[in-house]
Amino acid sequence: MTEQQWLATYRETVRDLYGYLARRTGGNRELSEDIVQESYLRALQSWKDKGLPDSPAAWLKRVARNILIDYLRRSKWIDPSGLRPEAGAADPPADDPLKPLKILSAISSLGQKRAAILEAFYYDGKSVREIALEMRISERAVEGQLRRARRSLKSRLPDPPSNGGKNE
Amino acid sequence: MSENFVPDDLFMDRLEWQLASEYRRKQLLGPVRPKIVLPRRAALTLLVAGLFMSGVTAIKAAEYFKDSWRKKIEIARVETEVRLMEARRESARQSAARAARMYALGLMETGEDRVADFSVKKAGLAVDKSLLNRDEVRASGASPRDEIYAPKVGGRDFVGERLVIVKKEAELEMAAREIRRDRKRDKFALGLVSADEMKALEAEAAVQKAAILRLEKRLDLRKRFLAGGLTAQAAEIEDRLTGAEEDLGAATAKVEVLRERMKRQETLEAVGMASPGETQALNTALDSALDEQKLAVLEIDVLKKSK
Repeated sequence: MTEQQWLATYRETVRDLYGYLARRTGGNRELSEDIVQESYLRALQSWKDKGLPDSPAAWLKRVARNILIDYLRRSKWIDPSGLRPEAGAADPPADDPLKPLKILSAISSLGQKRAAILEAFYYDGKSVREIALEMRISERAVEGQLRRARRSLKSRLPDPPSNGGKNE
Repeated sequence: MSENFVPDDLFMDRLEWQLASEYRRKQLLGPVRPKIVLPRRAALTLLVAGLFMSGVTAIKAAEYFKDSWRKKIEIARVETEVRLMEARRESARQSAARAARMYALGLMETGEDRVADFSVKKAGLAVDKSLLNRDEVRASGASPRDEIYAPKVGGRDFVGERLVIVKKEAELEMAAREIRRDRKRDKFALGLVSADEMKALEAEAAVQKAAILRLEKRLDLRKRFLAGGLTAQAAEIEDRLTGAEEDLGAATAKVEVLRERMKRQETLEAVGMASPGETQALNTALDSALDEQKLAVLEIDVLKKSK
């Protein structure tokens, strides 16, 4: 990998990678920038020895996601299992800046496949058809997974304040 | 779409610069090519690699401190440093007050009260430096940087401000040592201090002067870099060159002192007043100083060629 290839790859992918992270962190600029930076440093370390991967953008997103999930797990203000907060804990305010990270934390605890489908649908704005093609499964299967994933996610997140703090 | 979902141009530019630098450093740190077989060339390659190692370490450190929880840890560290330095300043003040009382009672040598005052001033500068470090960590989220080519943080030149403090510290240290050297000079005039000891003290003074001169040069480089008169690479090379010249000066002074002592040692050994073991120890120290001198010359040579 030459320096030109390295920098060209950076310029081609950086905006997309940043957007990918910003959507998952609820627009948290500092966290998104930190993870973008760390992802490229890891890429340099890996690609220098192994060469450019087939899809640098996909490689970067995978690494960035792992860094983000690792960050969420290590952060004490988020339950590492992504489960409900402890009983008696106060409801977060409606504009809780950590809410996007709490949601992502809960999504990441659903299992790899369901989390990937939910993220593709909600964060990346992909259609059921696009997800089905990417994952090589039927559209019906995607819809089923989405439904089950939403149900699991709902049970893992605290109830919204508008719902009076009670389960349905 | 909110602007938070689009990367900042400044962030992208700075990251591109960092990634390009990191790429080049990794290239430089790559395996030595088989065609380089001459010992001198191998030595040059290793030296270049060594020169850039510290830069890579600095970037890696900054990279890890950027995560917010690490930033908190780093802020906690510098705040502890501030408290520690404040405690040391208080202790230095108490020592100085004690020294002043003892001096008034005639229980201390001439100038020792001033040396104690210098210690208080130095402790004050250490507090200033720790406060500066704290401000920098708070502003940048990264550990304080000392490279001449480090950017300003929030419009503030932390590198320059730190250099000014470090220079003042070096000047105070030199002034304190000079008081003691003056006393030795008086004793030397009375025949109470050996010529060897005097030479070693003068060499020490020369090394301190060179260190202050280097700090002045670093400050000048920093100003030129910020004014756009130097590229980051040129600033780094110039800075390392100044450091290598300072090392050469210190090593040369050490060699001269050790050679003088060696001559005297050999004479003493010849008349049975010194053991061969003592001569051997001195010889080893001289060899080591000569190696330092050679390494500094080699470093200067490499850096001049890199310009």
